[in-house]
Amino acid sequence: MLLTKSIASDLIDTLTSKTIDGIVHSVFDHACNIQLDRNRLVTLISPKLPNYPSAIKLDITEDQKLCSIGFKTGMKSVINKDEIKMPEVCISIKLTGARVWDSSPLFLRSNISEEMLNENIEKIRDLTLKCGEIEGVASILDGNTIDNNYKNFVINSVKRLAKGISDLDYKEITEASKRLIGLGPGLTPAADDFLLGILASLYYMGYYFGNNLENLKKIAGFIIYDLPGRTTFISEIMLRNGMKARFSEPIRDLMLAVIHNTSVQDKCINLLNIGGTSGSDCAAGIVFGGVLMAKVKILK
Amino acid sequence: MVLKYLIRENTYYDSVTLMIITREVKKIEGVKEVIVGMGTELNKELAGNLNLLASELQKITPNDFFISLDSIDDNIAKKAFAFVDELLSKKKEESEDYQPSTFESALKYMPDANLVLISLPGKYAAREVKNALLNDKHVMLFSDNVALEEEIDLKKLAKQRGLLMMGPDCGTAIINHVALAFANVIRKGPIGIVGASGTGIQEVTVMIDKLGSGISQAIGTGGRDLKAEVGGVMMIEGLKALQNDHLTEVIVLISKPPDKEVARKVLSILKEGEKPSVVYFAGGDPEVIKEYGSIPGLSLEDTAHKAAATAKGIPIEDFTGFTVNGIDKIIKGETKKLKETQRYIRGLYTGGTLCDEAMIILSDLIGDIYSNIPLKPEGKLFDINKSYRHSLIDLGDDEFTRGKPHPMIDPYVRQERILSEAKDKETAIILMDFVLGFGSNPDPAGEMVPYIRKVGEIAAKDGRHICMISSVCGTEEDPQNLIEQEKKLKEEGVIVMPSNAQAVRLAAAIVLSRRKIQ
Repeated sequence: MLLTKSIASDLIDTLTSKTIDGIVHSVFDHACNIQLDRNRLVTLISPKLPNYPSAIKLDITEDQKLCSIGFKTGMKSVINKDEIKMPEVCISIKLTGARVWDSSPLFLRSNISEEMLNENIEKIRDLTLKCGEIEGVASILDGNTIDNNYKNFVINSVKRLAKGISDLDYKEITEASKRLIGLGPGLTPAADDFLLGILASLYYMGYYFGNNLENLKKIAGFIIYDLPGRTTFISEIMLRNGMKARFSEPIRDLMLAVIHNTSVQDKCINLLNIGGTSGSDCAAGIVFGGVLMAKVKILK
Repeated sequence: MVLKYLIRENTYYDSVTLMIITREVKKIEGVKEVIVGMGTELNKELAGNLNLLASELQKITPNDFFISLDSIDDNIAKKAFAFVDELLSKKKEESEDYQPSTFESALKYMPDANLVLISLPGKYAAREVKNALLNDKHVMLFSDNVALEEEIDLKKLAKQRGLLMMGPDCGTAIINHVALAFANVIRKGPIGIVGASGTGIQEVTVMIDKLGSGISQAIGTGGRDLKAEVGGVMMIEGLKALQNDHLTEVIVLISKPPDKEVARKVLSILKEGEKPSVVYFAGGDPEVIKEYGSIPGLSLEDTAHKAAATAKGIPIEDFTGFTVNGIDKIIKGETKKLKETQRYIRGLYTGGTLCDEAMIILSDLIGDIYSNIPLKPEGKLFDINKSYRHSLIDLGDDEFTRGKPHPMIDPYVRQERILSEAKDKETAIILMDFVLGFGSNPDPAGEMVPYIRKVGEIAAKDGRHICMISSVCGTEEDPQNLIEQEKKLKEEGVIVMPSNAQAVRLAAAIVLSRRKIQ
């Protein structure tokens, strides 16, 4: 029997006393995705990864790869609030007693100056260009010096998205996002990570400037309005969580650091270290969204 | 322009892998453009913009992985895809390194396996052992800290089902020539061993190998098997197995001092069989062993000599001497170098049974020995971290290993201790064992070399010389290689003896020689 260290709070509603079936969707060194239905996912992660929404952190050693435990794509699983069973490999994962990791947003009032806020966003831009992987869409931060297929493809859509958000033109937001969702390499395509970063800035910076959370949620909803079928299942779930302001620990930590002016550099490096280009693409989205929100401030 | 593509349906790769593929493929000379990703609408559109969209790619979905590339000719495209295949296969191979996480999944993975090696924290081990036995699997239980009552119950169950339950705290076994846990590479031969001591089995099997013979099986029982409470259940089952094993011609039993009644019970069963046997019960009475028709071993080395001689059908003699030329010269030379204050032997052992054997030999030759695992209660060191007179320390004992790796794996404890012994002006001789084989440190001698040098430096500051004597328990076929390990020690001025027993006798001879001068 395997034990669990923590379980994301958003799964509490998903995992009830009723036993449901799931199928292993994909297995990576440190993550195993179990698809429950078209809209729900449970991700088993090793302690090497940070907490994120819909994830259950297993109590195994950091260097143990999940594939070595026996998880395989297509494998059946049965799940309820107490345990996850994978009969094919006789694995039982005990969920009771695990710590709950609260995946909900943490909006706290901040007294830092706008100048400081802008400095923090610029710090993220500098760090992303200096320490990040800019082979995805993060190269967009670099103006004209870096030429890259993805950047050239998204540049106009990104400008349209900025205008759409500034003008609160929902149609424009949806049309522009449609030209971004699903673009780029990876299980979570680069442009999706970029959009996730924008959503993080939209919520946290928007809250700083005193925006109504319902308004922010509405805009977020339009950003992912045309999501179904445009990207991978995993990315779809990630963006849906982002729409609800539920972000992974490194993204949330970085946003809190920006808003409260604490250890931005460390938190930004943590984010940049995620995946191949994912962390950097997301950081680029945070910069883009941050600059936009600093300019617009109140979305009316 | 040559357009080539690869599609893998319902396949996902992590972004790091994809990034590496993209980077590396782009580096291949002759590759003009490449796109790697999932088959989303926008990725396909981008592929189209880059003239990388073959008609087949139109049909793929966001769940399908694809690579499409444009190269100057067909060979370049083939080369690029071969490279991609290599990278992805490597990833797949890594993924297939399956390590079952439960006994049930391991059983399902390899249903024909007939032996299970269990190494869990002691308090969780019994349940898994029971599970294995109920599934008709032999068990080697490496874990220690298993309750005595649990051991008794599990061994009873194993006996009922005709299975071996080696352990708890069973560190060494060689079954059908497969080394389990700490064991050496030993040639095949006619000698079968049942031992209640890990390093005891290692020393005897290594000596048998050095003498040109070999072993059929080496069955461990765990150190408590010959206690009155356990009753020698597994030693008896083990020796019965060897009596029935057609490859075994000579049986060897090894144990720390057994309970007297249990010893007699074991010896009587041994007597019932037809095969000759050599028995080493450390510190036991050789006459009792003779009474039951077995040959008593006087040390681990002597046991190996007698077993090998029996197997070869040559006359058996007690071996208590040296196989090294010029031993008197060594004794004289080392004695001369010692100062008046230097009177004591300090043994720093990683192998518990080797330490026991050393204490038994030394106490016969030079008198009282102090230790953390003394032969008699009055020999217990007041402070295990500080030697007193002749002190022999088992650094693998629980008091030193709690929360730390065993010194056969991590020499840290001995590295620290040897320096404090060097500072003690009464230290004349430092005695050490080096245990090679699977499971042990990959370079035990090399790890100690810098500290051996420091010992020399510390002593030289006071105008002293410390005599360092060692033995290396291993064979030339071991991963660490006996010859190379011995060479490293000799280069540092350490006297390397062919066995622990000979190393100990040499140390005793030097002490006695000093006493004569004084």
